[in-house]
Amino acid sequence: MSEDAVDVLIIGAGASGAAIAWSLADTRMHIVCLEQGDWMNPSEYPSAHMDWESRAAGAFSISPNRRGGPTDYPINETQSPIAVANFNAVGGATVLYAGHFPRFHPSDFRVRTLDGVADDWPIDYETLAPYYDENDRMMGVSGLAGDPAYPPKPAIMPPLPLGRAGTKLAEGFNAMGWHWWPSDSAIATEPYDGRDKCINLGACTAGCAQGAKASTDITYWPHAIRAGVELRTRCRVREITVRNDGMAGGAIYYDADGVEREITAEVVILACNGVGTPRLLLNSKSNLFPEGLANSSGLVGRNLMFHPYSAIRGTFETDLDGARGPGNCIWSQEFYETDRSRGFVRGFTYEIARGGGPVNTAVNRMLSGEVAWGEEHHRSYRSVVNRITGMVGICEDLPEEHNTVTLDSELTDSNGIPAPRIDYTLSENSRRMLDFSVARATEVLEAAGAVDVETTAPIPFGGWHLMGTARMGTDPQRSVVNEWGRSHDVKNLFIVDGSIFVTSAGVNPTRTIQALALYVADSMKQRLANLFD
Amino acid sequence: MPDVIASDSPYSVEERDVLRQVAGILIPASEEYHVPGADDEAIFARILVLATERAESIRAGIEALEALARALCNRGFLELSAAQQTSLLRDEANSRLLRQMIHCTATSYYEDGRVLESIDLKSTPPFPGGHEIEQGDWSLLDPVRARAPFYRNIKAARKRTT
Repeated sequence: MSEDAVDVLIIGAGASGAAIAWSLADTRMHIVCLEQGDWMNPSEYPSAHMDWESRAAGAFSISPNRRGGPTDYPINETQSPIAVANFNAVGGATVLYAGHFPRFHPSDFRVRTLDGVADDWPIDYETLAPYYDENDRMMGVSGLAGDPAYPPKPAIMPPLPLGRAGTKLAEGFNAMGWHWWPSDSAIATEPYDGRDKCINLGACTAGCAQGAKASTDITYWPHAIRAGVELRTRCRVREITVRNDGMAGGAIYYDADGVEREITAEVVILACNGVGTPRLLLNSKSNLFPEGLANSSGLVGRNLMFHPYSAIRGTFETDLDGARGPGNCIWSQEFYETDRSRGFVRGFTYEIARGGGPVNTAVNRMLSGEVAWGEEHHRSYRSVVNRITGMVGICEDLPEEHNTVTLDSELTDSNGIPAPRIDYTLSENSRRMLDFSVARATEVLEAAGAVDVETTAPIPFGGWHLMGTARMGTDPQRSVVNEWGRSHDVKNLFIVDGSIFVTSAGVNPTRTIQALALYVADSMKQRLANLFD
Repeated sequence: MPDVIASDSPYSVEERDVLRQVAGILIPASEEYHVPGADDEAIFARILVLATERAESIRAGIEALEALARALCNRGFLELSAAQQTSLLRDEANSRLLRQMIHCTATSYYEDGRVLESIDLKSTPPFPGGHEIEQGDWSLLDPVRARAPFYRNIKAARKRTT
């Protein structure tokens, strides 16, 4: 087994790994990032091909179980109504995300104080605000200042166009007297930091061939690498090693040829997402840590939060945007803050999903019988194609210890590493919130003129956001990492991905994950002389 | 050019004829909309590629379809009238084959540039040309701009509790 030594080892090159690698680069330490996936080639992204919808559902599927590629690991999700979405590559899931880029709200950090459920975070919105700003500059965010649902925040680039779909739904929200605002999006609407502007390809969630969407392979990583960070791809970490003094020693990993290698490090940082990180910690058992690394609280892998999603789509009598343009458009946070008269606590965001592709429209609606086959097909199909728009409701999920990521007793990846197993139950609060979100969105669509509304809740494949499985806090018995991301148990081990979330909020998490990573990096840099005290 | 050459195909000539007939029934040509049917040569070649991925199931479906045709009409599927063929495809016994063929046929059909043009979409991949999206009516935002901030003020909440 070969061996090398570095100062800082980062595991995972996605949203958070890229951010902290870039931020720590100015320490001039020897930083190595191990990533199990490859660099992506944008010319291979689906939108550069006629069969883009087929490719998006295959090799670029959000489901690792469906992709089943050599860089993927399987997930046992048979005990969950929501399946995990991820992507293993430089850039991680930002390669496939929509680029919806909302911030948390101040109230999201004070859930226990305000609503009497879950826990407060050990940090607050003001603490993260400067890191949100810094991350916005690095990722390049489009949007519009002045959203009354938020404290003031800057807009770096103009918002994405409303288009026909956004206009139609804005009319619906206005008719109801409800809030809407152009979405903050990690999509460049002007040339930005070497990236070209969005040209409305309409296939954002299968990789942006234009390079307008801010995936970290084209935002943070070029800067981090120029600053001296070493990024090694096709390196799949099996376990974090432990020194005799109880500190993390580095990691054992497999290279692209399946050769087992060891790397030692003075600092180890996990950035593997809310499923990958607990999987790795639980697989890092030793005499000192028989229940897995950093797990004296027993909370590693517990409190898994998704965002249960509702989907509400309407069919209109006029042509809308169809498959043209990014899905991102406008959002509504009318029902974001708690109102107990609704029958649940906390809230959700509506995000408009602009339209659908011609293949998906045909296949799904022919299979359901809504679009005819045979002589009536063309007339039937033309009554729906390019005429569907709608929204998703992103519901806040509360932490519950029985929702877990554990190691599967049988399933393994191609290197023989135990696969993660998900055990997740939708809570009654989430169920009520989903139902409410469906009902209100139906009202919006009908007010906008929809002639037919269809709904799904929860979206069964919608486990895009993986949070809470190594939560942060000041109490070592109630949390895995402290208020600046350092393990309570192992003082040279840090976690910066969504697993450290205390609560999930009702928004997409990537902007907050990255702001946290930058905040943890700054906290480390301020304490370099006594980082392990 | 199709990705599957005849000698690679898991389907016999007779089976391919049945699949092509089924594709043409599911999505026929239309003079009104100036579009080919799904039995068009180029589109059917793509259907065969997709059908190859699920050949075992589809071949079993063809066999069952033929058996049902002979049991009910005493003739092979291709020898039946168009109405009889359509009726057989609607039979519950053939629902699995129908679902498989809807998937392969609709996918292949709506990847074809001629078809996409007919529904006001580009006949080329989205990249590099992209699409035009109108800005829309931003004046709709005026009433929302006029709204007072409604996020919860945490500092005020703290003061109330201390």
